Amino acid sequence: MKNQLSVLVLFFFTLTLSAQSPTYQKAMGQAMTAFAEAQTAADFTATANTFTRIAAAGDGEYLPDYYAALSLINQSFRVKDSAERDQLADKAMEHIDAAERISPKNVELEVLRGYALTAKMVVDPSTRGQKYSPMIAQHYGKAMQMDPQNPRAAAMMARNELGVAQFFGSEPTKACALAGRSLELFENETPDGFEPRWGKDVAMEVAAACN
Amino acid sequence: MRLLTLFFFLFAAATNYAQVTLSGNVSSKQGNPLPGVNVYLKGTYDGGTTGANGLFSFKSAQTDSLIVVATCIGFEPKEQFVTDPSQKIVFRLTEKVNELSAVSITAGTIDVSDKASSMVMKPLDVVTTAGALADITGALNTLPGTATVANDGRLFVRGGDASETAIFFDGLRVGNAYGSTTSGLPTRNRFNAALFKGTFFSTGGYSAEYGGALSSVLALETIDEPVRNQTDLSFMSVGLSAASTLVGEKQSISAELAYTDLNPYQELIRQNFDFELAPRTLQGQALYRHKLGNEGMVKGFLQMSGSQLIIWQPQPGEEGRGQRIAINNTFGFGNASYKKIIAEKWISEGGMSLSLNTDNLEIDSNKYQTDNRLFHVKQKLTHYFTDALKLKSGAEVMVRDYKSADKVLDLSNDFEDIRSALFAEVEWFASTSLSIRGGLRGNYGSLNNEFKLEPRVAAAFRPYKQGIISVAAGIFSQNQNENIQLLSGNIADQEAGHLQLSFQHGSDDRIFRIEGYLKSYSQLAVKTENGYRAQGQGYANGFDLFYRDRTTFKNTDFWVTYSFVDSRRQYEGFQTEVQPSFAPKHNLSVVGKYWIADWKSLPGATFSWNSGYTYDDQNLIGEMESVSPCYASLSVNWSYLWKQNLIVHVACNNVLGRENIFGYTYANQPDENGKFQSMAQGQPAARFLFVGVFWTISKHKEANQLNNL
Repeated sequence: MKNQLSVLVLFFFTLTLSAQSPTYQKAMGQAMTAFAEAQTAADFTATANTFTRIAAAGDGEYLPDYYAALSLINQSFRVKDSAERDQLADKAMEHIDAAERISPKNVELEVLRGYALTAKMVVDPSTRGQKYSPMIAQHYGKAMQMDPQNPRAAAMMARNELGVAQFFGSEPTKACALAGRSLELFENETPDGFEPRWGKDVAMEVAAACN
Repeated sequence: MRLLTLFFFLFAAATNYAQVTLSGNVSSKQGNPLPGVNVYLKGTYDGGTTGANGLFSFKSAQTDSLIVVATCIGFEPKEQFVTDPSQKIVFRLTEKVNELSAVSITAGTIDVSDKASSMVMKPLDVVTTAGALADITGALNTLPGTATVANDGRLFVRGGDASETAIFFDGLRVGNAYGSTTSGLPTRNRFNAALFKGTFFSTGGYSAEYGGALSSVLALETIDEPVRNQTDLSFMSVGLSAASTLVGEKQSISAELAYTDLNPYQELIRQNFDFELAPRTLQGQALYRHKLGNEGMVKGFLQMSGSQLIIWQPQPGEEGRGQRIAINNTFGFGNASYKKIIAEKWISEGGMSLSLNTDNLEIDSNKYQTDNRLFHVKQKLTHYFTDALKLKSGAEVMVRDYKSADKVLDLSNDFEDIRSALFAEVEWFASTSLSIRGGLRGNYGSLNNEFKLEPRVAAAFRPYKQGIISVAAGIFSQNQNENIQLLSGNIADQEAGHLQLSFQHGSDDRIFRIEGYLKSYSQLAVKTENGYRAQGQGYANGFDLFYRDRTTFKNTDFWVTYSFVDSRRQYEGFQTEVQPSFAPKHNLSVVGKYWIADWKSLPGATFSWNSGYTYDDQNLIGEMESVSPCYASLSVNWSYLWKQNLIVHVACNNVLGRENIFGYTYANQPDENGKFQSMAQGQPAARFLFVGVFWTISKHKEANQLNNL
């Protein structure tokens, strides 16, 4: 009897898992592949749409919104029209808000927010830099504080610092140290499932500029 | 065994899914194929994205209840029930029409903000425009519709005098927004440009929300959320200032103390004007902000300042130093405002402000005191019936007290004028390419017991993506100036009718704008034997051209403005309609900035020119029959980012040292030859030189005072 019961429990457990997880896993898996291969603005529209669909199904996961936002940011960097770039970055911000409701105080979302603001800033750097660059640095700084082991926070901060150092013609000591640290962290990072794993190229790019 | 059954069951269930292919196309209402549209089956992961041709196709295992949804940024989402998946699915999406996507009214409108659509001027331009010296007014004077009156320094819009531009601070009126000065000595706007995130400047045809302004409105909006704690120190050739900002989770406070003194500068550089005491000002200000929920905000602002100057003005036909004029000014301004979303689609805004201004004026042995007090309270409700239809309505009361006293004769005279107004305005975004606004304003003045209804209308149409055609018209009124009200309390208000038509063609980096306008004046105060009468008429007709380009030349940003105004009016002591001294016919501004990355420098230059100011030659028959030589000034500046948090700014106005003449003053009596002696009204000095070092102390070392030069 007890045995039967445990099988029944197992049955329902497997059933619920199979009703959601494998499809989620499969959909996310495909979407992640498309995202990894995306190059053009249109590619990123498609991945943003896919992640938006997964997010809309409401599985209580923050990652679909996370990647929808990341896709939109990538798309924003690739289109020309200022109004459209703003629109895409704003939409990305909405997805970050949604993700934050599911997973509050998430270091990855803090980094992403800084990145989304960067997309807004580059629309008109000479006008917006003054307002946005401190906000961006603040988000990366906060992310580094929340999780000193996060390689993306360090990488993005490194790129930010490199930009500042290049602009002022000063030694990019801090940027280089951050990039080095970020690369170390990437070595040890073992992301679960679909957890973010991008950013190593950013750290390498900064490190390359240091050499 | 049982487990095996289970796996079998699951496997069977999985393979049982039949696949259907859904395909079709998505286009806009106008029939253009829409790429990038997210088309999917509701409640599933199944979907696809339309390609460049608007076509989509995807597979799904779902076979029943096929609700297909299409969503796209900037469009209304749509869904449809599909019964036969083999049929092509066709979507026609309508553009989302709301305030953001709709075409904005451009006639008479200059929106200075960091929005992508604000292409005419950005907030940073105020500090980087040569010749402006970080004065908001100075920067706006390079824009269409304005006339540079360099010996005055205030805003003169489309043939109107400076009092015809009403200045608002977070929606509330400011009294005496410019520093007190004497004739011939230019003044500045009292507010530090760094306070504001944006400025709305209208050269005519503005919303029914604004009253008491005959020609123009300048609405300044303070920054909502400063980003970090920081302290700014400024060391300038004309003074010192220290400012600090503290930012908390929900609230922030910024405070500044500034002392400007032109005495040391004038010791060093010889002036044409004979100062006994060059202008000096001590000013303190604080701005407090508290967030209310998501979009709400409460703000409080306080500014106090005291300033002095003593100047000797030579008199035509007289020997010696002339008249001694001493001005002692104290000014206080307090403002409390709020904005709150009170219910879905309902926004409530309002607040109150108080401006106090006292001028103690000594002219030789005469002593006068004038006290100006302006209290303004306003409440506004905005309701969105739909995203595309909004109604703005509100009520306001403005109490003005004015007192003028002759302290030697111990005589004084005063009045109080209470102005109440109601306004309502509908704005309808008919489509993304057509917006219409219509409003009505009712004003009542207690002093002249006059009730006025003022209709205002405006519309904008987008004939193609980058073009906007806009029109605005309305009736506007304003009280007569204080001294006239003091003498003739019940005098009727001045009135103006505006009509303007503008065309704009612009992309992100390049914009061209042309605007023509007709403005009629009536009930201007005219001096008669029986005191002032509101019987003067006038007009101001003209057109403005504006071109700004940030892309053609690398690292270069420039704009060219030409404004033509033909204006005549009968006012004050004039018997006929004359061209006022503050309305030069032809006005030109050329502003350029060039970013030199290797030197971390932003040099800039501004050339201002106009065809000259009219003046009344006492030795000639007629009124305002003469015109001064044309005005021209070339100003240059250089901002250098020495370190990340240290900026050096050098500026020189009228670098070529041109001796501009703004007109002539005449002796009251003719001399023995029957001729009125005259004296040219010139500039305080040939050039004005400014050097400043701006240092920011912050945990974030990239912070600097670029917005604060």
